[in-house]
Amino acid sequence: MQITGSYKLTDKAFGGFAGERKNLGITEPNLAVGALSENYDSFIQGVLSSHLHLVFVQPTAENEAAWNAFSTNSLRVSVIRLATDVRWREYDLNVMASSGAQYGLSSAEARLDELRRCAQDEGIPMNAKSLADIRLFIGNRGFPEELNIFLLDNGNFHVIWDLGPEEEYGIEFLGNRTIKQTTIRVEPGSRRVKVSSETTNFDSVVRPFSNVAVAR
Amino acid sequence: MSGDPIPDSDEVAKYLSPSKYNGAKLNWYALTPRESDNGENSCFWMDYFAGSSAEEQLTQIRATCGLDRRPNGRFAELNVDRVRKAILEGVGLSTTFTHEPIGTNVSHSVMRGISHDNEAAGFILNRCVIAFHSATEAAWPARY
Repeated sequence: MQITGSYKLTDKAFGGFAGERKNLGITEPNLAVGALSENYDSFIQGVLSSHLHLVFVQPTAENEAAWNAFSTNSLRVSVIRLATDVRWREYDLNVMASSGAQYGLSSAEARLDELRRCAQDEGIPMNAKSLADIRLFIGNRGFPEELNIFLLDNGNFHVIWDLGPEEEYGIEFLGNRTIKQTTIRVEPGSRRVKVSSETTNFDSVVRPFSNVAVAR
Repeated sequence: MSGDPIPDSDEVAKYLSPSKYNGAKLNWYALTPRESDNGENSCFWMDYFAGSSAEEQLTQIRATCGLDRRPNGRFAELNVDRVRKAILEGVGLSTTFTHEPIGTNVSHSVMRGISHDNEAAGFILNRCVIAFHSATEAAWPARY
């Protein structure tokens, strides 16, 4: 295991967990994150690169139930690792094994190669800085599912996530660690489509990826 | 005749290069025109080849479209009425589909009303796709 830095768990991401906890009947005081703060906005010491690190402070039966549910459901949470209680490290290993199907840079390379060929065939002026940024972005994170990576006509790389049946979120890599992040959704109760987007720094990406968001 | 509107009940096919899709997922700009198209979004009127099945129509389109199609490219099938209604309801734009043959490319048509950078319209168009068809081979329609 290598220490790679720190991750920040956002309120938004924690909201993703809230639903899970609610379903499991887990009450808030039993679950704490990293250094603990009321709004979960504290930094967590990174333990595994590209893996989310949660800490259950009080190992209770409820926590254990949550742990088991997450691990069998290994889906949305890439890895939950318990660090405060030695006994639970056994679970850590189990979960790592069950959630081993991470989509990382090595998984993405075949798609990036295909897109490079498309750029050549179609005369698209591929933005090398955009390519460098998307490789950095994927390499710094692990994703539980295959990413939908595209090449835009302007040469930039683009990734889109489904946030639900009526909502999608995308990142266009503009190069120089700058991104355009966009959310498109059908407004509830109508068929109107709403778009919100902003250009921001690569490091500030905090939107959920399959309910989990980490920002370095 | 060139410039005739395509009936609402009819289907058109739009070519997609592999850079525009990943599995069943389409990029928001997959079905919008390119910037260089100046809003004229080329597609192919499937029902121009009347009396045929969708796959037979696609065979005709492959033979006449003149596109440089990649082996793993696709055609996305769209219904004119469904697109027009969805775009109007979703982003308030009126779209038109007209038959504009170019030489032997007899089913060539043009969708107008959506700009190249309208990602909301692209999002809606993606949700209007009825089926995908191989750009180069017959008979692997992926209906869903």
